[in-house]
Amino acid sequence: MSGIRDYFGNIASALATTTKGMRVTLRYFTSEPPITVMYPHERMTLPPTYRGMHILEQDKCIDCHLCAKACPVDCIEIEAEKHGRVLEWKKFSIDYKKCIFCELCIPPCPVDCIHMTGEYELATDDNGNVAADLLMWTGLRPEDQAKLEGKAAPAAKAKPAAAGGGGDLKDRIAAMMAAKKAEKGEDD
Amino acid sequence: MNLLIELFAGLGLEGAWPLTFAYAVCIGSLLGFVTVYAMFAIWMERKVAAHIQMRYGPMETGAFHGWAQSLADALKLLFKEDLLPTRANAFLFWIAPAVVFCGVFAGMIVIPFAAGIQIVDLDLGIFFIIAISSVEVVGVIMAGWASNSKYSLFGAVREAAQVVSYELPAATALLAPILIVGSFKLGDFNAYQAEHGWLILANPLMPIAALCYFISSLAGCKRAPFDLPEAESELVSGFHTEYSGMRFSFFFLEEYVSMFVVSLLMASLFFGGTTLPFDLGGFGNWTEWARAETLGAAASLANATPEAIAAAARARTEAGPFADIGNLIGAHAGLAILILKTFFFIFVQMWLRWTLPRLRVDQVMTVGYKYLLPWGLFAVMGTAAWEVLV
Amino acid sequence: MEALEMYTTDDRSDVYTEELKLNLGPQHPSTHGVLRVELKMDGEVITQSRCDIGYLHRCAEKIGENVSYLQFTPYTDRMDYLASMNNNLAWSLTVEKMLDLEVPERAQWLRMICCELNRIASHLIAFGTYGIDIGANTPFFYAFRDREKIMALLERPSGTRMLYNYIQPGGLRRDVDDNWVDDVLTFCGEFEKAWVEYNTLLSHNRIFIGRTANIGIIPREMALDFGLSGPVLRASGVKWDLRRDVPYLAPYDEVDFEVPIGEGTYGTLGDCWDRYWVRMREMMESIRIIRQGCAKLPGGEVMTKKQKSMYKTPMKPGPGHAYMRCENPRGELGFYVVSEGGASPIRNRTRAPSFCNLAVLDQLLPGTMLGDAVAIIGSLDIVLGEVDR
Repeated sequence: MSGIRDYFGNIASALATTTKGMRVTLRYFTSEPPITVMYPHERMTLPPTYRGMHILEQDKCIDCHLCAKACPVDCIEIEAEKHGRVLEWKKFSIDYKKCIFCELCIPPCPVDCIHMTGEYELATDDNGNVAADLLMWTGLRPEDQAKLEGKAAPAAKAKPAAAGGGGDLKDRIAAMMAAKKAEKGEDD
Repeated sequence: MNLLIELFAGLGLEGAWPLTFAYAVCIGSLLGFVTVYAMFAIWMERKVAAHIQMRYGPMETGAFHGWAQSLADALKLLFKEDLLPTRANAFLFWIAPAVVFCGVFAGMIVIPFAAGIQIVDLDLGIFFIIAISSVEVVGVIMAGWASNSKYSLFGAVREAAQVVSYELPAATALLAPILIVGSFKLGDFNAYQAEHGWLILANPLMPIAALCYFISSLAGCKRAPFDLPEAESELVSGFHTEYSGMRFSFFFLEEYVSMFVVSLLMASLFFGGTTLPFDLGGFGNWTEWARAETLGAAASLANATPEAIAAAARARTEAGPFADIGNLIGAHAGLAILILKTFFFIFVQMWLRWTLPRLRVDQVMTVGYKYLLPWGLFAVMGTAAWEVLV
Repeated sequence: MEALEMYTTDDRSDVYTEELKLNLGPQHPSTHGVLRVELKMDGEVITQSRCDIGYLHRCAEKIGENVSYLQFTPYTDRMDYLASMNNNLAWSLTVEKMLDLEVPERAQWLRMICCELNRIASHLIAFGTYGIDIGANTPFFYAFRDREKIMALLERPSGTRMLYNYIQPGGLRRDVDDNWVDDVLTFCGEFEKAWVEYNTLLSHNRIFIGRTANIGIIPREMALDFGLSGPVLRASGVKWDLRRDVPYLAPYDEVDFEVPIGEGTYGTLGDCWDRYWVRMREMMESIRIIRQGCAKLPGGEVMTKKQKSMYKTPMKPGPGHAYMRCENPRGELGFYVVSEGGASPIRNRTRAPSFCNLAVLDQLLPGTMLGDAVAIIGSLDIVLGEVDR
């Protein structure tokens, strides 16, 4: 007789569990709003710790190469020439074909000059040009030139970053990204 | 259809031309309807699936919720490269989608969209639909074999087993309403339900028959939970893995057209067709008009008896001076009601697809032979007994 | 071989049949990564199976011999990429054992919370993708809605949604923000409601039970013989959980939780449904652990100054070796490190749970049908990233 009991039990449980499941999906169909973020019309808000594209506060950097040594995939290339205390910058590039966005390059920096921003839209269709140069200027700036030649530094420009660590990190990064965008027009 | 023949004859064509042109217009319009319907149904499926899954579905193509997505997909499929797998049987590969689509499409010629809007009113209405829809099995087997791919072969063999097996319970369950009405003609079901109320309420066994038919038809359309032949997570795409472009879209169209046919049969046979379960007072009487229209249509058939024609004429006169307008509204209201019911069942099919997991092939056979067939038979015998005793 | 006997006739001399060789994968919607299973089939029934792996091999162990201990942490993320926190933890504990590092208490408690959150996230993927394998496409989306919440929570301290590189030798990369603990508790409340819904929709569905009960039964002896671990082992009735039995993280001793084992509820002990159900219950146990962890979370720092200096100068342990094992969502993950005093180990061996669990597949598949094969592979919950490394 258990066969017959199983038979009817199967029918009962199939119908019962099916209708229960259908109630769940109907509830989602009628009353739960979609949770999709309609990219690119809307974007998600990122936390301040987000690990996106790097940014370098070039005037702080002392060319110590600790970040390059810390990188597990060796994607940072730095080239600068030292003239006493002044650096003549040639190259500071991160190869984003290699970078795994692990953030191991950030803690070793002794002067806290490299950061990761919230820039994640890095897709490009140019396979050769994926190494991003983080320098804001190359060679020597006028004030560097002046320092080399022993003249008094020209009147400090209204850069809050120059005064010892002043300004919130977030604001500094935001200011630098805005300046970068204004310069380049498009990201590379 | 007879109207069209008269129309063309009236234009001065002779011989077989009026018939040919009439057929051409009918088939053409049906094809147009099917294409537009399929595009809408695919859009609807994607939207239903999306909202069940807490997302939006198509939104970009076409300003309002991506209505043009299906159109864009159809255009894309038209432009796709026509692939033929290596060492595939080219003739069978080529002809399989056509066979599959034509089988189901041919079933639509007996469907009464409304009284008078029917291509052919065969005596064997339902029987013809069931029989001609079976032709698609041959097409599916051809597709699976000719693709020269083991996955496609798996899908085809499973599909053959499944669809052929489930025709038994489907046809058996359909015998219950046929017994009550006493005819295979689809128009008669409408007329009977206009008189006696919905067939699903006719006796306590009718809901069982309706449920059996609905589940069997899900299996016949290869819809979840019986979507083994296209079991995506096992067989990539089953028997139509190797198809691309327009050939693939034929299979897709076939699935949605058979969903439509099945839902329409469900609506017409069990749930009243063009009639509502209650009478709407005030505005005159819709069911009266629907009945009058149906009876009026019966009069236009070639084999109607003079008594039937006279009865129809009387019914028309009794309906009142506004009968013609009423009939017109009634016919269109009836069509709208039928389409709404059909789309409700299509929605239920989609709802089930996105809720339930898939049955394994031996479980499919078990459900078909051990559960649905016995209960279908029980429903038919019970209906017969009820008709005799009650 | 019961299915084979059930579905073939005795006298087959008049019917010409051929054995069908079918390749399941490496590109397949259901093999959970790039796994290739060669099947020999008699109609729908599998007679022989052979797993072929290596499609995702990335030489992680060899790379481990060339990078420093801290630099290897992101590589451990990418092994079992669905349970990155747990992988990081296992590696950090191994390095801490080699170097005899002391980790602050707050770091240990936050490690436990993050690992349990990641366990839930990993089991949600197992649940969702198992539904898809069986044919139910909808629970996947609901699971991912909850997974999104977890990823947003873990994004705040670590900076990224997956591959966190957050649990590092010495402690944690950084502390969590002020509202994090409250948001974690909010998530716990929401998840408990969602869990009930998952069961209504999938777990107790008759069709799902029909597809998974009495399929792929791993008896207790087979489980122990093959060295299985994690939910696969526990579903066969063996109550073995490293968090309880070989405690590797002190806070696990101070929280109260059950170790769910299979009970053969709908079929036989050790079938696919049992494995699935053990994972579901483990998610609820993880919620318990997280709630207690958040309540007892101590203050303090998350990495000592000494450890922080190791960002600049690579750590150099003395000669020796260490093996630490942790309870990953998929089983027992172990790291064996041999050092000769340099900045990199000379041998870095990973004992991946999915690799060991996969070995039992060739025993389970013969005699089943193709649909069952998919169900069995899904129930083992393998990640090819750690099978191949």
